[in-house]
Amino acid sequence: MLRILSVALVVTALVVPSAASAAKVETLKSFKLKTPDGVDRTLSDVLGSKATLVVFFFPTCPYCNAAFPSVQKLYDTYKVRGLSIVWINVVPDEARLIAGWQTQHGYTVPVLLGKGSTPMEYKVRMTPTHYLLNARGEILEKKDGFSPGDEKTLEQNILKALES
Amino acid sequence: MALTAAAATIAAVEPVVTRKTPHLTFTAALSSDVARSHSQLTLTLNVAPNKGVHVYAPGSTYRAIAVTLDPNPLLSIGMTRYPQSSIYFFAPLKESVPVYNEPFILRVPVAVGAIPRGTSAVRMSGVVKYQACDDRVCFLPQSVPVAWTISVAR
Repeated sequence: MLRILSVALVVTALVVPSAASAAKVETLKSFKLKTPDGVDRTLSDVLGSKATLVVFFFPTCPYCNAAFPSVQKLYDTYKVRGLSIVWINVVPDEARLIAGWQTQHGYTVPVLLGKGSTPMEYKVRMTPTHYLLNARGEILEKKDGFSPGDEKTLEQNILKALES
Repeated sequence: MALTAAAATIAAVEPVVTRKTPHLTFTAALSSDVARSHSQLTLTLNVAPNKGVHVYAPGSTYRAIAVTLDPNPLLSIGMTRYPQSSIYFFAPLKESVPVYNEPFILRVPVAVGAIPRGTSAVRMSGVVKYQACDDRVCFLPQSVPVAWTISVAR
C-alpha cells in the first residue's frame, strides 16, 4: 500500500495539471538548478516565448552525443523564433566534464546541473529523454532515446509548437 | 567494510549474492565461505546482460563495468581480470567501442592478511558499477551495492 502511495505521489509530483486548461494538459514540474557557473535557473527562467525543449542527458551518454549536434542546429535555427532549449545533466559526478565537453563540440545550448533526485523527479530512466513544452510550460511531447531520423520528427514538432 | 568482533554472532553467511537490475543479472560469489589468514580468495562476478543490452568494457571512453570493494585492513584487493570484449559499432557516432553483450565473467583476486585472534567473521562490501545501453537509449549509470559475510577459519 505504501509503495502504491509512493508511486502515486511521484507521478503526481511530476506533472501538475494546468489550472488554465483541460484536465489532460500537463505542465512540467518546475525546477531550480544551477548553471555550470553556479547561477540558479528555474523552469520559468528558461521557458521560450513559443516553445521549450528540455533534454535530460549526461556527457558520456553515446545517444546524447549522437543526438545533440542536430539539437544544437535546431537551437541555432529556431531560437530567434521563440524556441528555448536546455540540457539538464542527470549524472552529478559528470558535472566536471561539462565545460570541456561543450568546448569540444562547440555547443552553446544552455546546460543546467541536475541533482541526484532529478531523474526520479522527472521519471528519467534513460537518456536522452526530452520534454517539448509550449510557452506555458505545458507538455506537448515526451520522448526517450534517439534513433537516426528522430531529429526530423522533432523539428516538425518544434515547428508546430512555434506556429501555434 | 566492517570486521565483526569475536563476540558478535554471525547473522548470516552469504558468500554468494545475486542482483537483478532492469538491464542485467549478476551473481557475485567468493571462492570460499571461510577466510583464513594469509589465504587467497577470488571474487567471481557472473554477469548476464539482458537481451539487446550491452555494458561497456575497459578501453572504451564510456564507463566500463567495474567492481569496487571498500577498503578493509584485512584484505588486499587485486586488479580485476576482464574477459575479451566484443566490438560494438555505434553507427550514429561512427565509433567502435568494446562492450559485453553476452554473459561474461569478471574475477577479482582478494588476498587475506593476518586475521587477529578473536575475529569470527569478515564482511566485505562494495559496489558493481556499469553503464548499459541498448540500440536506442542509454540507461543511467548504475551503482549496485554488494556485500558478503564469511566466517573465519583457523
